[in-house]
Amino acid sequence: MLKLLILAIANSRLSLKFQLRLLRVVALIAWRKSRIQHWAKNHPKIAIDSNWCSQAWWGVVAGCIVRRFLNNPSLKPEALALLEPTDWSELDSALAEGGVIVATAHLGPPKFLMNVMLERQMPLLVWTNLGDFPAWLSQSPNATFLDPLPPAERGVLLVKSALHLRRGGILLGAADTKISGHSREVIKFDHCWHLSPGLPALAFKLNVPTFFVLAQWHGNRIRIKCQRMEVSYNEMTDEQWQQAWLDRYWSELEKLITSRPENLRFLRNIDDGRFLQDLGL
Amino acid sequence: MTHEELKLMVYEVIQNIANKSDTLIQADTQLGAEGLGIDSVDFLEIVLELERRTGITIRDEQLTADTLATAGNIIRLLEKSC
Repeated sequence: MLKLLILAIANSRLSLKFQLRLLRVVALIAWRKSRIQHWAKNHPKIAIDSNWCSQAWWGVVAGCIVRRFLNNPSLKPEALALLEPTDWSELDSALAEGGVIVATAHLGPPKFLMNVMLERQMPLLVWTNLGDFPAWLSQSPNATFLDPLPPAERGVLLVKSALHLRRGGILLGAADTKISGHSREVIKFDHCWHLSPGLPALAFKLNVPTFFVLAQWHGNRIRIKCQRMEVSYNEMTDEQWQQAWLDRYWSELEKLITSRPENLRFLRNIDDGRFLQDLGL
Repeated sequence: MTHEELKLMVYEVIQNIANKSDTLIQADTQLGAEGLGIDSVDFLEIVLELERRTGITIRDEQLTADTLATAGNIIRLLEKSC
């Protein structure tokens, strides 16, 4: 019954805004049938109540619905219209001086930030799973896509990224995914995070600035947080600095995970692991 | 720089960065997971160090997954980039 209801909403001709509002009503009861409440019991430090669980459930399903809109060229503008005004001035100023790393994460609505940055027509290099979005999107002008998943490609991934940064481009990638044999494992929030040293290695060796940029749900709208990630060079070795970079990055993720339940995309297996897959979402 | 000098430099840089000072590096030595186990961060260091030492700048269009597969391929990449 619940699946039918969600399908009816997602496949309706209702506007995306209205679909998301309807989903809020469904979420008030739907989370009770999901695993979110079991997950919630394991994290007593987060102030979890029924409202928290409802928001977490909503965020996971809403992210899938928005992604369907993003993947359809005629519906994409409706998804992008959810974005609140973003202040890019600091990033744009840094870009005027040379290459910039945009470090993002697998939290918040999936693929939203990438689509927004593609719209901005910047010289972009994106690390992304190429099997994860439609082919028409990969034809975007001004953008190059590298897939970090095939092991054979990983060897050249950072070198190509370094060349792009040296030419003054933007590298958009997530550090919470395994792209190197030496990723750091953080087991927290019932999830194993692989923090990869690839982005900090590029930042250190090329001396380019990093911005932590993440699209996040704020109510039924999406806000992009864009802030420069400063890590002091205070008498640190190469390795210590990269560890400090990853610590700083992880603290941003942890802050979001504990404060904004709608952005916990890693709770995607909220039911039997096939819940959203069965819905075609 | 002669081919022989470049070859020795490439082998030395690979040995140092991959921490393989006891390993004999040859042109057909596989560098990735199926060989020395060099990962993407080490590859980055190797390329930047070779650029620094030789003054050669690698260009994007010369890079494919194969380019860094063996020590010999890296030597060819540098020679083509001269």
